[in-house]
Amino acid sequence: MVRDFSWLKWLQNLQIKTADALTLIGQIAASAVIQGRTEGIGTTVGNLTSTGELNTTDSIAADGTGSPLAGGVRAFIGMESSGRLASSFYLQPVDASMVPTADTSLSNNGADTVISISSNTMRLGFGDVIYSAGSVDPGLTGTYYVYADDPTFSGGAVTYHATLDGTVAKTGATTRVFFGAITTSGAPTTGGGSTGGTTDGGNGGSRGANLP
Amino acid sequence: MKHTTEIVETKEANGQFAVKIRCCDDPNTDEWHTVAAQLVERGFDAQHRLAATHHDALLLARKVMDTVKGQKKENEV
Repeated sequence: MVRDFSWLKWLQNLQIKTADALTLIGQIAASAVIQGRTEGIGTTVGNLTSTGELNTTDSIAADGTGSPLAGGVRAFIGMESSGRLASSFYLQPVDASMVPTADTSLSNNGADTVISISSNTMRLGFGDVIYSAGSVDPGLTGTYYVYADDPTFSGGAVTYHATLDGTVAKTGATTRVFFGAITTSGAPTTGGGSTGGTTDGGNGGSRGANLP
Repeated sequence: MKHTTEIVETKEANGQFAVKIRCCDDPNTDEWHTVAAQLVERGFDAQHRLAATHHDALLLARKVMDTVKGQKKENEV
């Protein structure tokens, strides 16, 4: 009588295939590897909850089209729960209300065309921004509007510019901070600040009512 | 007081040219001074002088501030 043990061979093969994939009580082993991958399935699903949801957004490998994750982080930082901006700090400088704390910040000695800007402070809703002194020499006399670009309200040493066009100085870029106007004429004059100094027209540094 | 100023950086922005001037090797004194393009050849003597003047005024103000703490005054109103 010839006994057929092929079923035993089949069982052996089955045992080889499943030994690493199943536990003794029939559960899928954490070390089981999905075809085409190298890590155990425990690692693969480690960031899923028991209901199959991702346990945290930190487990998302990459931001998608439109960068919703990065955008969400920015919104979380810059906005309050009602959806309004958390403070004026998050406005573009051109959109923010600011008032110089000094009476004047611009001066010209009357002997040359250099406009001297004193160290000055701009008061905004979120606090004060302090700008270092500097100068700008347009080379000619006239009524000049002085500005700098400070996209992050960093203050400090900024590059001052002078222009004859008040619109450029006040709204020429989203990053613009306006320091006021000064009329240079060959005699000592002052300008800017909250009063405009001796410059006619009250061209204080605050943007708004004094459009040229 | 003697102040030594140094141009530590230059740049072109919005069609104008600017130099960053540092006084007495102190980065806290850094200031940008901008000039129109046609003035660049003239040099930056006025800007050096201005930076030195600003630094001098700052040092003088600090000296005064050092003396005001504890200051008392009788005021008749």
